[in-house]
Amino acid sequence: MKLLKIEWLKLRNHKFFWIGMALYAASMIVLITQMGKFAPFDSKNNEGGMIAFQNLADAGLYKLPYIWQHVTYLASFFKFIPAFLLIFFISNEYQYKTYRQNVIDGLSIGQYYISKLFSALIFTTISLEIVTATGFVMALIHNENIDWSKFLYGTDYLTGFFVEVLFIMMFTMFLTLVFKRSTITVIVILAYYFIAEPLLGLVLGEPVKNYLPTEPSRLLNLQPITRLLGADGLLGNVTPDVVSIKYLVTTIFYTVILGTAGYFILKKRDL
Amino acid sequence: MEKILEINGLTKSYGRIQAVQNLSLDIPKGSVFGILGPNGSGKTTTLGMVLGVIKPDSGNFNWFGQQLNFDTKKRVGAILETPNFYPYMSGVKNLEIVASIKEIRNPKIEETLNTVGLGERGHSKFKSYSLGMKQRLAIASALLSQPEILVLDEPTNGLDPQGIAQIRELILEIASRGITIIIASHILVEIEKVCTHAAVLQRGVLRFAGRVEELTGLEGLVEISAADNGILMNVLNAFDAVESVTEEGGLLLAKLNKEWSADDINRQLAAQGIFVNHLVFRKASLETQFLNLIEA
Repeated sequence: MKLLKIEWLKLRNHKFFWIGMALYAASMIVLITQMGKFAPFDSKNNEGGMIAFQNLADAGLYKLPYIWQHVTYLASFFKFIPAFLLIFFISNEYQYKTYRQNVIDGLSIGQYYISKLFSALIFTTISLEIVTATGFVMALIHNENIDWSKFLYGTDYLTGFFVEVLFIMMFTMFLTLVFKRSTITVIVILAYYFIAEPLLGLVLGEPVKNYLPTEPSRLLNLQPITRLLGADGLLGNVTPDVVSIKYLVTTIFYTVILGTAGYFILKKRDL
Repeated sequence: MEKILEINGLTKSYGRIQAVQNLSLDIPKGSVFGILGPNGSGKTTTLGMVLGVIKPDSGNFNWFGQQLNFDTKKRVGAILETPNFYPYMSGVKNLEIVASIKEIRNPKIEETLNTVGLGERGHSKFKSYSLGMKQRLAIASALLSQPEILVLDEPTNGLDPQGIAQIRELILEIASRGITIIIASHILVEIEKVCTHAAVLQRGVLRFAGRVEELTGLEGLVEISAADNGILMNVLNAFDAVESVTEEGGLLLAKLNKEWSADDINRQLAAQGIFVNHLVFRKASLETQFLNLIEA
């Protein structure tokens, strides 16, 4: 608890934390609430008339139980916002040499590391809270005659979202500990996540591709939009109704590996 | 003599550079202990090792007869190199973090800030502080847990003369409360003015450890002149305590090989019928000693 308190003091007093969180929450809320107004197939201009949806909201974007899958999918676009904040805060501790001072003052390296895990957990929990609250409000607005006994159906996607964000946190934290500097860490993360691993996946092909470090976290929530539009059949897509346990476990496995590796990096180095 | 810190054979190298070589040192309780050496002589590395942030290659150390642990860390207030704080937080907030880390119940933050003369600026952000204020906040932070020992690394580095004088006064004031102080510095005057003990490091090797008087007083120099310096020189040369006499700008410089007070010199010369018109102890400066040591 002492460690959580220290970490919270460090975050709370920085305006970037509040600005970043506000931006994060705003981005998620805007995308989730406005996505419903987006109409990819406007019936008026679609002479074929096969798909006559007015917009995504009418198509069932906010319908229970699928709403959870939809909102977490949309929310995950912004997962790098808290990740970059985490990079910022951890690399600052190196830059200010406060990490070293914390250890001189009394923390062990293990305790310091746990305090950073709390940071990752704080960011992940806030992410989950924002998406849950937004999803809940949208569910209330867009569903009539809610069957409360079935309200929890589909919320496994909230678990999936939590695990995905936590994984991204540990992934970025690990690399921040390796590089110590924020700029290089951000570049490496983006280059790896969006270029290196997809390319590697292309080369290795299935099923190896699905077990590269970041891939399982991406497979937790496949895009559900084609199903929403009734286009799955057309495109030969199969959108799962539940989070894949296999990829959930793999993601958790990588999260633990990165978390442990981060500790050993700190332990091995001089401060 | 009770030892606060005992260092046995500490060694650390960075690649091929030997930062600290087989260093053994005892820091007595109640001393103001200066660790002196040019830049790169291993002072900060030594302090980093005993503070638990640099892993020694070999050797060990004990604080209060124990290995470094949370309890000993709480009894030691330390700053390594520069004052390290969160720039976006005020002095008070920064001290709150230190208090949480050290698990200090009811930390006397305001009081400690007053001690170092930062009482009025406590709520300003750290990044708005001048270098002197940052140094003083660092001392406040180190004092917060009411430690038995204070470790300061180059506490006056980069300060203007007034800032240096303030820090020096502060150190002497803290020492007068019975807190043991370790100061690493390459500024000799600093050590000379505040320390009771000193160790001299050069390229990671210990060249001297002992009381500051031993370091400065080994070769006392006395400036003397009388009506007839020729006779005076002969008389001085005859004294056991005088090692050699030289002339310098109309004054005689007598190099002493043992402690000899001005009283004694005056009395003995008077007994020989010589009355001096000038008698000043010129302490061989620490600088001379220091250079002698590291050139040896």
